[in-house]
Amino acid sequence: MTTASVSKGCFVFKARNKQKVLQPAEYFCDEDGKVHSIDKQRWQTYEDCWQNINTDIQKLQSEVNSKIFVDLVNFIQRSHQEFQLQNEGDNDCSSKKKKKVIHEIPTAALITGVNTPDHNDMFCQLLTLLRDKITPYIALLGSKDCNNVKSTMMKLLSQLMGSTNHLDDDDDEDSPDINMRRIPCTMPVLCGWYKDKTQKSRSVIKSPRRSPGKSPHKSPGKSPRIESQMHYSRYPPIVLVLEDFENFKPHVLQDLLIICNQYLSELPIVLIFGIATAVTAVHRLLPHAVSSLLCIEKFQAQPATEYLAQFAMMDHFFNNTTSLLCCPPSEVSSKIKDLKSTTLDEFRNLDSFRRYVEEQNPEEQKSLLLDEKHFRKFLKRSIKQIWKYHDYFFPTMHCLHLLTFDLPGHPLGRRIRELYSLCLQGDIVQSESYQDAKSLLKLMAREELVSLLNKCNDSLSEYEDNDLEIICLELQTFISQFNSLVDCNEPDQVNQQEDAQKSNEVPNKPTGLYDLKKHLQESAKKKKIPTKFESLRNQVLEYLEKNLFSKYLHSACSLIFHEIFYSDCVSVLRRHLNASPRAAIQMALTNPHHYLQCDCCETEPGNIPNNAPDLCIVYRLHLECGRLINLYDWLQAYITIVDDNEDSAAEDENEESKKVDKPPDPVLQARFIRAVSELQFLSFIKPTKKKTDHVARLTWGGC
Amino acid sequence: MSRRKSTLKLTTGECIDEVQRLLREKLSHDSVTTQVFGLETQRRHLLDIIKRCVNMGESNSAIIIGPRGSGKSMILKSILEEVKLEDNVQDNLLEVHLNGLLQTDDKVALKEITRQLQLENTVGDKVFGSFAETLSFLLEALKSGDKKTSRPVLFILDEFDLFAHHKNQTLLYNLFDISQSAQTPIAVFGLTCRLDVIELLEKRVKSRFSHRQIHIFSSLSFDEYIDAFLDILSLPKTFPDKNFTKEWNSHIQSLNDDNITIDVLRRIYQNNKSIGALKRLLLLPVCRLSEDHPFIRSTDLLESCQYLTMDSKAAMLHGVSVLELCLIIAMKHLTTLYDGDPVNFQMVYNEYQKFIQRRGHSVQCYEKAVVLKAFEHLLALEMIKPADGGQRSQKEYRPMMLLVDAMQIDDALQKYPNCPTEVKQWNMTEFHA
Amino acid sequence: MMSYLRLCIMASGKIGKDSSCYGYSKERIDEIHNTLPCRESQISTLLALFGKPSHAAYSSIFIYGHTASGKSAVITTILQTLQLPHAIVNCVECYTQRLLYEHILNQVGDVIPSPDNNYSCYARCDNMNDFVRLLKNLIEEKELGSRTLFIVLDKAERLRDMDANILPALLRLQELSNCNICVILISEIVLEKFRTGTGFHEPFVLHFPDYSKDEMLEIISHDCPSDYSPSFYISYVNLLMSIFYMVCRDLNELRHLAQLNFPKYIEPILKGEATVENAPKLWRNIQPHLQKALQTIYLREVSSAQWEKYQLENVEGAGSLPNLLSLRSSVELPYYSKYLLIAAYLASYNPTRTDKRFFSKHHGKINKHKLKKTEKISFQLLGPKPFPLERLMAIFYSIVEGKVAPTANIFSQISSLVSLHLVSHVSSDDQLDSAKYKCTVSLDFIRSIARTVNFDVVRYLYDFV
Repeated sequence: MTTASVSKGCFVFKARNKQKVLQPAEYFCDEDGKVHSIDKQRWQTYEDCWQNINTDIQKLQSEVNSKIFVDLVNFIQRSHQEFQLQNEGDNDCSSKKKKKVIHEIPTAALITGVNTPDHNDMFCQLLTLLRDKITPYIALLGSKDCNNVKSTMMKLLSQLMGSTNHLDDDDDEDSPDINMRRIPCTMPVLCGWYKDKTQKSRSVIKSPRRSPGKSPHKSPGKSPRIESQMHYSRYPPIVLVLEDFENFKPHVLQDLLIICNQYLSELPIVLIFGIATAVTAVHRLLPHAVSSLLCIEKFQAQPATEYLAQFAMMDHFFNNTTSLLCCPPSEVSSKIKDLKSTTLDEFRNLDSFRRYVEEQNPEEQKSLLLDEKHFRKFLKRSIKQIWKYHDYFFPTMHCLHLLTFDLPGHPLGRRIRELYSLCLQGDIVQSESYQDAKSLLKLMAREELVSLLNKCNDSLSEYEDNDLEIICLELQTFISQFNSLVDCNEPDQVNQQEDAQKSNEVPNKPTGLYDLKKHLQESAKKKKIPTKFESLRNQVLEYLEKNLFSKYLHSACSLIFHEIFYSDCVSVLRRHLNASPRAAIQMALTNPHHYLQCDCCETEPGNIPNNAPDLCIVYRLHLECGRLINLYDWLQAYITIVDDNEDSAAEDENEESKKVDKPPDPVLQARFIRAVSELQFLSFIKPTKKKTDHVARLTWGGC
Repeated sequence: MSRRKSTLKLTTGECIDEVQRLLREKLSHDSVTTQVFGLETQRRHLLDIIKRCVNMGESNSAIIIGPRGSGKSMILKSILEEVKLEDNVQDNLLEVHLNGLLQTDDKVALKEITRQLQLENTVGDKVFGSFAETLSFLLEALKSGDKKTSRPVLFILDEFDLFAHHKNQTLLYNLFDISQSAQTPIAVFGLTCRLDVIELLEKRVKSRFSHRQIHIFSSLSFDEYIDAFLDILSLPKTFPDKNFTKEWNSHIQSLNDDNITIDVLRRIYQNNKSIGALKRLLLLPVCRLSEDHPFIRSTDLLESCQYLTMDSKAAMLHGVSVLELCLIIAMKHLTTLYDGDPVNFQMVYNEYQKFIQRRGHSVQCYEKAVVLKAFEHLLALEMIKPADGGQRSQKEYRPMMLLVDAMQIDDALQKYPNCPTEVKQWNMTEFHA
Repeated sequence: MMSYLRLCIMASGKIGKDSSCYGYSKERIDEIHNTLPCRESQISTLLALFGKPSHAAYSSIFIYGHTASGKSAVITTILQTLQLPHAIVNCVECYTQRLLYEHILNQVGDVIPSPDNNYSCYARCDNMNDFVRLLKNLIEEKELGSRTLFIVLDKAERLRDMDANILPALLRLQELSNCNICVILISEIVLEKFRTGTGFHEPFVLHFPDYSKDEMLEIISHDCPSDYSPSFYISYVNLLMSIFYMVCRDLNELRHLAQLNFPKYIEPILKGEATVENAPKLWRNIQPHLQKALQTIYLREVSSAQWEKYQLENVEGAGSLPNLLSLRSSVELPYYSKYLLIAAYLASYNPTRTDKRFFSKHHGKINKHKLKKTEKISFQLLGPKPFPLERLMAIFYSIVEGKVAPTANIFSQISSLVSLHLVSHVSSDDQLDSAKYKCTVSLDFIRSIARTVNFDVVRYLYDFV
C-alpha cells in the first residue's frame, strides 16, 4: 500500500517517454566490471525491496491493460452474433433472416493516449490475445502502406489470405500458392476465400480424424494455434486494426469503410481504430455519410507511468551508498555490524546527521564522529526511529486523508498522493492548506463528522499498536458522546445557569427602552455562546491534531539519516527521463571527451583539437558557416586543422605556400567526404538544388 | 369475306404486347430509321459521296456536324442500307465503325480496325515499325489487283472530336492521308456535334482533309414536331390485327386535336426541339399501356411531362432536415453579405447561432459537431462545393460556395412539410450584419 | 369499332388483375411490394419501364434520391425477385476502370472467385473497347437473346472521377453494343452535376422522394421487437420522431436511435414500475434521455451497449452523459507540449502586430475602437493563419512557466504535435527553420488544455479583448 502510494507520488514529474528497462545488476559494478561486496549488498537490498514494489506495480499495470483487452475481446465476440445466427440456418431458409441487414460496422475506438509508452507493444499484445481467443483473421493496417485504396486492399487481402491457414493442418500446400500478385484485390475474392475457409473449417472440425495425435508432425510454432482454433466460433470475425488512425488519408479511409460496409452481410468485419488523441479525430476524418456506417465503442487506455517508480528507486540505490540500510528492520542490525569504517564515514557525511551533531555537546560529538561502536549503536537506534516513524506516519496520514479528502476545494488534495507530497514537503500541521482544512472541518455538521470519525477509527484500528489503540479508544468515546447529544443546539451547562439567572432578573425590573436594548444585547451575546455540539467538535479536532497529526506527521526531512530512505534528486530523474537524443548527439560532436572519456581528445572549449574524430571536426567547422556551405572551403578548413600537427612546426612559409596549390591529399579528402556524409546522415546538412558544390545547413545557430 | 381477309384476331393482351414491343423498339433505340424530316439535301450529298467511293473507287472524306439527336448516325445508317441494296456492293463494301468513346487511343483503334476487317490472322504476330506501316499493310491486304477491283472501305468515326485528342492525331492523319493519295479507295466520315471541330485538327492533318462539312440542323417547326410525334406512335400497316391498328391509329390522331396534349408537346418543344426529348416524353405512357388501359391518354402525357420537367434540386431540398435548411439559409445570407465570396463553416455556424438566439426557441441549438455533420451532408449532396482545391485546411475553415439559388430555396420552403415559421421569416429577411 | 373497344375493356376487367404483372406471377409482384413498403409508385414505374424481359428497354435510367430512400433496395429486390439477368456494382469499389469492367463481367457470366478457380475473373479487361466486345460475347454465350440485361451502378457519382469516356459510354452502352442492355445509375446527386464531357446521352430520370413522417413511422415500426405489440412500438417511435424529426430525416439514423433507446423506454416496465398502457409515465422516463441523445445525434460514438451503461450510471448520478461529451475531446499531453500547443494556437489566431501588446511587459495601450473598425471578420471565423517557427518559440517562452532551455526535445515535441495532427505543416519543406505551421485545434479544445495548466487563453486572444 505504502509503496504503491510512493509510486503514485512520482506522477508529479511529467513523464514523457518510456525509459527502456535497464539491467540494474550491471549498474552496480564500476568501470573495471568487478562488483564490490558492499555494492552487491546494496544490489541485493535493492532486489528484494524492488520485489515487493514490483508486485504492486505489476498488479496495477496488468489490471489496467487486461481490463481494456477483456472489454475489447468481449466487444468483438458479441459484435457479430446476428451474423452467426444468420448463417447457422441453411441458406435457402435464411433468405427470410437475410432481410435483416446489419447496418453498421462494429467499431472499437481504442484511445491509446499520447503518453502510452509505445503503441506497438500494446497492439502486439492485443493481436496475440485475439488470435488465441477469437479469430485467426486479423489485418493490421498502418497509414504508411495505405496511400491509396489499391494498396490498402492489397495489404488487407495479403494479410488475411496470406495468414497461415490454421484451420486445416493437412493441406498446407494450398496456402503458399496463393500469391497476391496474380489475384485481383477485390472484396468478392475475399468473400470467396472466407466462405471457402468457413466451409472447410466446418468439415474439418466435424471430421473425427483431426485428433491432437496428428499434431506432432506440425511445426511446434503453429501447434498452439491449432489447439486454440478448436474453440473459434464457426464464423470467426475478420478484424481490421488501423494502427495510427490520425495519419490515414481521409478519402482512402472513407472508401475503405464504405466498401467494408457493402459486404457486411457476407463478411463479419470488426474495426479497431488506434487513436492517440481523442474520438474527435474520427469526425475530423469521416463525414456523416461514412461515420453513419459505423457503430463506435470507446476504450480508454491508461497511460502507464509506473516504471517511473522503478527508475527512481534504482537511481536512489545507485547514487548513494548509505541506501544499503534501506531494508526491512530485521536485517538492519546484522547489516550495520559488518559495515566498513569507510562506509560509516559516508553515513557521517549525511547532512541530516551533521545537523544533528552540531546540536550535541562536544564529547557526544566526539564519540559520534570517532567512536565506531557508539556510532553503530546510534545508527541502529536512529534507523529504528525512522521505522517507528513510518509505522505511525502512514496510518496517521490515511486518517487525515480520510478526514479531508472530500472537503470543498480539497485544501489537502483529493488523492492520497497529493497529501503525501504535502507531508513530505514540510510540517503539514504548519501549512496554511492544513489550516484551511481544519477551519472547514470545524464547520461540519454532526452526522458527517461522526461518519468520518468512524472511518478514521476503523482505519486506525487496523494497525495493532498501543499508541494508536489509545487514540482509537478516545475516538470511540468522542463518537459515543456525539451520538448521545440529544440536540446539537443545546448550549453548555456552564453558561446555562448564568443566563438562567439573567432571565429571572428581567421580568421584575420595570421595562424601559434602555432595559429592552440591554436585554436584546445580552440575548445577542447569548447567541455567540458555543453549543454543546460545537464545543465537542472543536475538542475532537484539537485532540486529533495534538495527539495524531502534529505528533506523527512531521516531515521526514527532520529525521536523522532520512537520506537512507528518501531520495529527492528530481533533477537527476528529469535528466534521465526526458531523453534528448539530439542533445546527446550534439554533446558528443562538440565534446567527444564527454563520452569517450579518453584523455587524448580532451580539449578546452574554443579551439578544435586536430586529433578529434573527423566527424567532430567537420561538425565544429560547419557550426561556423552560414545557411549554405561551400564544400571546397570546408575541405580546406578541415585539411588545415588536421594537417597542421601532422607535419610538425618544422615547415616554413614557402612550404606553406606550396601546400595551398598542391591538390589535397586523397586520403584526407576521403576522410572528409565520409565525415560529411555521416553528418548528412545525422541530418545536420542536406544537398541543395540551388548550388551543386554547396550543402545547406538544417540546424540553426548555437545548437 | 372481309373477315376472312383480315388476319387472325388477337386478344387485347396480345395486341398491347405487340404494340409495346413495336413502340418500345422505336423509342429506346435512337438510330432506328424512322422517317427523316427535312434533311433531303444533306442526304443526297452523302449518298453521292458513298456511291462514288463504292462504284468508282474514289476516296473521300467528310465530317457530318449536327447537334445531339439531330439524326446524323440515323441518316448514315439509312443511306448504307439503301446502298447495300445494290447487289454488287454488299459483298464488296467493307465498313469500319469506330467510336471515340470506345477507341480511346490509336493502339486500341488499330486493333479494332484489324478486327473489323477480319485480318487478325493475316497480321498474325508481325511486328511493325510505325502506325502508318500497319495501316497501309492492312489496306494492302485488302487490295487485290488494280484500283478498280480493290475493295472500298468505309471508315465511320463517331464522336469524331475525341479522335482529335489522340496523341499526334496519328489515326486521323493516316486516314486522311490515304484518302488523299489514291491508293485504296476509302471514305472517311466523321460524326460530331462540335462546330469548331476543324480547329481541333493539327495543321498537317487539316491540310489532308477535304474540307467537306455537312451540317445537319434539325430545325423542326412545331407542326413537323407534331407530325413526328404522330409518326412515332402510329402503328404500321404490317401490324397483325387490322382492327386494333385502325382503332389505335384513330385514337392517336384524336390526340392531335386534344388541347392538353398540344400544350404538353409545346412545352417540351420549347425546352428541347430534339426527337430524343420527344421519345423520352412518350416512353412512360407507352410503358404504362395495359389491358385495362389500352390507349394513351393525354393525362399520361401530362404526367410524364411533369416527370421530365421536375426541378431535381428543389426535389432534393425537400428532403433535407430543418437544421440543414437553416444552414443553407445562413449561407445564402452570408454570400449576399460578402457579395459572392466563399464562406466557411465557422461563419455559417456563427450565423446560425445568431439566428437561434434571435428567434423563439422552437428551433433549438445543437452541438457544433452535430451541425458540422449536417453541413457535410450538404457537401455530399453537392449543394455546396469547396472553393479551394487543397484538402490542407481544417473542415471548419474550408471556403465553400453555395450552389442553390434563392429561388429554389424559397419554393423549397413553400413546399416543405410543417416548416417552422421563424425559418421562413429568417429566409425572407434580407441580411444586415 | 366502339363495340369492340367496349368488349375489350370489359374483357380487360376480368383479367385486369395480373395485367400489370408483365407476365410475372402475381405473387412475385406482391412479394416485392411487401418487402418494400411506401415505394409503390416507384416500383410500378420501374416495372413498367422494364416491361417484359423480351421488351426493348430504354438504354439508361438515372435514379436519384436521399440516403436511405430505398433506391438500391428497390432495384436489387426487383431484379433478384424476378430473376432478371443483372449485374450490380458499387462504384466505390472500382478504384480502377478495369475493376469496374471485371466486376460486371464476373456477375453477368456468374463467375465467383474462389480457391477452385484460383480467384480468377471472367476475363482480363482493360478498356471500354474490350469491355463492350467481351460483353457481347458473353451475352451470346449465355443465350440471353433479346432478354434485357440490367447493369446497376450504385454510387454513380464516382464514375465522374474516372476517365472522361466511361460515363458517356455506359449511358450509350446499348447503342454501342447493339444489345438489349439497360444501364441503371443510382446516386444521391442530381443529374445536372453529371453532364460533363462529350457524348452524354440523356437517361430517363427517376426521383425517389424522401419518406413522409408517416411513412417513416410505418417503416420503423416494421422492426418492432416480437415481444411487444406493434401499436406500443409505434407510439414509442412517435415520441422519438417528435424530438428527432426536426434535425434528422435520415431513416437509418432514426432507426439506429430507435433501437438505441428502446431498452431505456421499456425499463420501467421491466422493473414493474409501469405498465405498457401507462404511456405518460414511460414518456416522462425517457424524455430527458432523448434530449441528451439529441446532442450526440449523428456522432455514433456510443454503441447501444455502452449507451445503456451510461444511462444507468446516469440514474445513479455518477458519470452523466454531459461530461461524457466533454470527455470526447480531452487529450492527455506532455507538459511542454501543452504550452507549445497553446502558443501555436495564439500564434495562428492573433495578428502578428499584436504580439508585442500581449507578450511584452510594458506595451502601449491600443484603443480597441480603432481596431474593431478596421477588422470586418474576427480571426476566429477566418481560421488559423500560418506562422513561422521563431514566432511560435517566442510566444512559447513568454507564456511557459519556469525557465526552459531550447533543447532539442522541445523541438522534437513540435514534430510530435504535427504527427498527432494538432499542428500542421503549411510549407511542405523539410528545412526545419523555414517551415511554417498552423494550429488545427478548436477553441474549446485549447481551452480544456489550457485549464489543465491553469493558463487563461482567452485573455491572450485578440478576438476577445
